[in-house]
Amino acid sequence: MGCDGKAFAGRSVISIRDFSKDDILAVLDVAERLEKNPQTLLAGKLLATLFFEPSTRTRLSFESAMTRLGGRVISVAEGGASSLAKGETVRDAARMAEKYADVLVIRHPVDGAARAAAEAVAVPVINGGDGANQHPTQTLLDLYAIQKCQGRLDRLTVAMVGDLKYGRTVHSLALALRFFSPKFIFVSPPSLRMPADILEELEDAHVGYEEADLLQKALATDIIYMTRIQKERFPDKDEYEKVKDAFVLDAAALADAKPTLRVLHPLPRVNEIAADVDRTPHAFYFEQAGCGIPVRQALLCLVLGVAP
Amino acid sequence: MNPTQLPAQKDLSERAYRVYSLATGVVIDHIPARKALQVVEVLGLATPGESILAVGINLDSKKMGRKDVIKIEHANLTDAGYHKIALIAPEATINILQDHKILKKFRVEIPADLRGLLVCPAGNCITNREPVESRFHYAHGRLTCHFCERRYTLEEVNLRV
Repeated sequence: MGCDGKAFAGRSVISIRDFSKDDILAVLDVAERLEKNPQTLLAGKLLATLFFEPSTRTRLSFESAMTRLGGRVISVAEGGASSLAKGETVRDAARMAEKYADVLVIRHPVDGAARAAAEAVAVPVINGGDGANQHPTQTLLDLYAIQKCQGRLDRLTVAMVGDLKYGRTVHSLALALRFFSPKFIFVSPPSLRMPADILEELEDAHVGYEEADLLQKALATDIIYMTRIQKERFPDKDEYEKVKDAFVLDAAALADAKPTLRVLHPLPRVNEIAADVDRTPHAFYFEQAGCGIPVRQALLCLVLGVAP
Repeated sequence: MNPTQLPAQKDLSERAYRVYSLATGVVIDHIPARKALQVVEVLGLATPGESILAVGINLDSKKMGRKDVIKIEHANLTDAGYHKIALIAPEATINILQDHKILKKFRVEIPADLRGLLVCPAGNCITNREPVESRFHYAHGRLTCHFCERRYTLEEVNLRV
């Protein structure tokens, strides 16, 4: 599918819920074109990153994406944190930054902050993560990674494993994949199941899913999306101790997996994917992280009305 | 007959559930039983003034079994007021009266877009942390916060007082 870039010009990227199936495909198409044929399309354009909480990976990824496109970056990493400490509203901070840049990336600890900022300014705003709510560029790079390793997005069986209750990435990815006729297997401890409202949205879209609490159920799939189970999520520490090793993926578990199965993770991982998985052909999480550059480049080009 | 006088003894049982007969003003009918006082509070109706406010609670209703009714003399409600009524009493009907004649009669409706009327229950929503007006989308019986995207039933969300 081709995309002339005009449809996205001036648009902010706040939530994966704002994306239609065609929007998703358009972004992935531009990402693929940029990856195959890198171009300095954004020379003369300026990105301002406003990070009100630290996220080295996301910030560096955006800075790299913009710089490689020929654009420049002004970064308000430390300034963002001190702005928050001074009590400045996110809208005021964005209104200030729009005078200095053509596009903003905002990362903020409060849910809905990115949308509030986007509605206060005239330049496009890209949400780099707002509290527990959305991180749409992560979702889009996850989709790009899945498309890359499977050759398609349609009719895949996708297992999501770990903390499905608090995991922002799995919520967004499940919602994004609903356009592509997936089958889901949700594997988690009972107290960390996928929230009912996400399941309801999947049911509304006639998407099939199963819930399980054994890692083994995740193995006969096309994609295993692993997430970390955090100790802090368990008020009862004994319960954490019981489950913490039950959702660790190692090479032995993957011995009989189909050759095309790929393991993804939003990173950083702790112990939920054993190091011996790295040497198997199933490991795709580092390539997945690399997908952040073309996808973020695609978004920067599209919102600035430029397409390769 | 002066509507404020007590009825004759023989009429008492027939008139036992009649609420004050309003000439000019607004009647809010088909409020779920025992919710009228909540409507009075959110609309700020019990403020000092000359107009009569009559409230009937737990009346018989063919349609609902039991219902509440509010009658406000010489009143004019805004769209925001009707939206607030709809959030508490989605089945309510409004009668606008002039000299005992019904000028207009309509059902309240919850609009698809609600701004500034509700409080998002999520503590970490930007609308509870910074001066950002709340905004909700209503569809299929659910309210979705425009900013934090959480979904709620009508019962889970409070009106801004």
